[in-house]
Amino acid sequence: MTAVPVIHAKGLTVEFGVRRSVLTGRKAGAVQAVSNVDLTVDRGETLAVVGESGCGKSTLGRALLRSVPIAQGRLEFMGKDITELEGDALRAARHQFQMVFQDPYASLNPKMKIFETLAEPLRVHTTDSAATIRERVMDMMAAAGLAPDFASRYPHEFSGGQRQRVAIARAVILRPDFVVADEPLSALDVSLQLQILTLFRQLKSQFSLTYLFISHDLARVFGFADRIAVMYLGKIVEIGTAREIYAAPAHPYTRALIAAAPSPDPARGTERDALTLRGELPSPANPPKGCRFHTRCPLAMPVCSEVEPQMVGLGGRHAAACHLVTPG
Amino acid sequence: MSGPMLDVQNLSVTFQSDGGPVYAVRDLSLRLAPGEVIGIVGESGSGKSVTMMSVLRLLDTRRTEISATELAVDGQSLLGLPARALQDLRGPVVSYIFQDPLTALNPLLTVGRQLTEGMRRHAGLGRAEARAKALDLLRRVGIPAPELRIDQLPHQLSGGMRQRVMIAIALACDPKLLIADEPTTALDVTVQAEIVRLVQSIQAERGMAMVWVTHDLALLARLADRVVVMYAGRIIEDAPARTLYSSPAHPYTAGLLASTSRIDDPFTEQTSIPGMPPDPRRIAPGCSFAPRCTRALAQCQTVVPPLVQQPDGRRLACFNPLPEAHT
Repeated sequence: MTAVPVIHAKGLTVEFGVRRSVLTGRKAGAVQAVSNVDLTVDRGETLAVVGESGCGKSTLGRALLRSVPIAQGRLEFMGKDITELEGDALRAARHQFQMVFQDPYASLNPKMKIFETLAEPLRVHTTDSAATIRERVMDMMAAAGLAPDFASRYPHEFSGGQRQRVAIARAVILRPDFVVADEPLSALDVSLQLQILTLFRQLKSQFSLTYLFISHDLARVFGFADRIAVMYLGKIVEIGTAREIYAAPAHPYTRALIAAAPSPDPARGTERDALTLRGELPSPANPPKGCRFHTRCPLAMPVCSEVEPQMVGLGGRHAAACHLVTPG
Repeated sequence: MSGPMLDVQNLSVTFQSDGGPVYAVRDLSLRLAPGEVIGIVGESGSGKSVTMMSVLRLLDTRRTEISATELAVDGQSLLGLPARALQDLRGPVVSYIFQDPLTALNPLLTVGRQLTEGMRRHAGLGRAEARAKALDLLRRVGIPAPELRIDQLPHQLSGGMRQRVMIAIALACDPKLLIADEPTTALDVTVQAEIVRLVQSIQAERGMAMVWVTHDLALLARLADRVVVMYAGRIIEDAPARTLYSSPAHPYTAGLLASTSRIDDPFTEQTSIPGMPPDPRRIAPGCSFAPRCTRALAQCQTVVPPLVQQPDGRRLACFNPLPEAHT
């Protein structure tokens, strides 16, 4: 395949809380929220990023949109290096990548009617006439399952599910090349989660969108994503198609995540308990040496606390970073 | 035969809001046997938390109207009981664990102080005795280095640790009934799995009765003996867990089950329930689920289906339930 990927990141690193010592000029207190990540997102695919809170999945999503500073590494968008893009050039590029947030109560302007919320990106980024803008907004609302009379109403008049529809419509109205959705379902009730997931699916096929879908709910993303990247403490530890990972999860952390997910079947396995993790995520300010997962890994060996495992290809698009996996 | 641990009959809870009365719980009846573990499942606004909070009157009484023909814990009626007497029950008889330990814990008091408060008040333990018991409890809930943690403040602990402290506080007075209201919702799945196993093992060793309030049917599958499903302030189905998961009878239960994420079968396409839950301020006549229900009959629009005991051991409020699933 020679098609240019939408996103190509190489050695991407994001640091927070970096201070320079007044005396020595050296960096101090840095937390690597994202550490040396290589990632490709192909045109038209849905890549899910899963992991526990604090694993860096949201920061990775923001870094790919250039919303947080990149400390090291290189980021290409549609084959173009945007690592250093700044000011007007970055603002101009912004309409090509959009974000949907977790909390639809916080992400919409409470003083803007729904019509204005959806028309604003068009006014900023296009030269469309008022009539065209009206038409595009109404078309978008229909595509997002919002009744036409909602246009003249305010966010507070809507429920969480409807607000999330508005937020998604706003993100998609400019036909962006890349949409990052950060936990867009987790504030919603179960019966609405599936409705919103279906909306994401419909809009993707209608507008040929590419998604990075950040989630902590592995069970949900298996059926929705083309590929899944599992993150732990700033690193991608396993990546592959949803079916590859479900059929043969290679990293002990991925296996633990699958084992920890509850299933609505009272008869299902007590054998899963053996895989459950002990302890909690270590502080990213002071990550464990070697494999970052070794402090919680039920299968850790002496080498794991010394040497950091590299990504090993397992055949197909499947790869994992663990000393226990052998190349496929 | 001993009486029920919890007995709620014809409970209704109404909030006064600026937009008019909110009918949070409507005519709810529920019994819980000693040692029984039930799950109450429902979406936000279904009344599941409010039901449990009204048992020990944890709701703001100035804006809340609670009525019931019976409200009793361990044989003692709570109706008309003065606030002072209720306080004596919080801890030794009924304890709560809430979703967000950061708001439930006092940020200015040490873990030890919050843990021993109940023991000293209710059991009359001395300072040293209470501290020793607190250390035991912290150890029991899996907190490493309890001697260090006991003198720390809540902000010095991680989310999972705080929830363990909450559990320890809830257990401090050996309650007969433990009410856990979404205790793991704010936690990661791996931590959730640990907390669930912890509470399960403590429940089994003490034999206390328990209510898990949650929006997640998947979580309850291995936890609950019985699952109570609520919708728009009412119980719509109440069944032994195995029966409910293998053959849900109410169309809402079936829809909720069908939209729950399935780690055991993630690639099968799921169907969502159309529409949205009703506004609890606008109560339409008939079954509240009827506007979203694919099996609704004409009758469902006008008459509220009563919750009726079924021959197979479940209670059901539906005029047109799903036929018995054959498995």
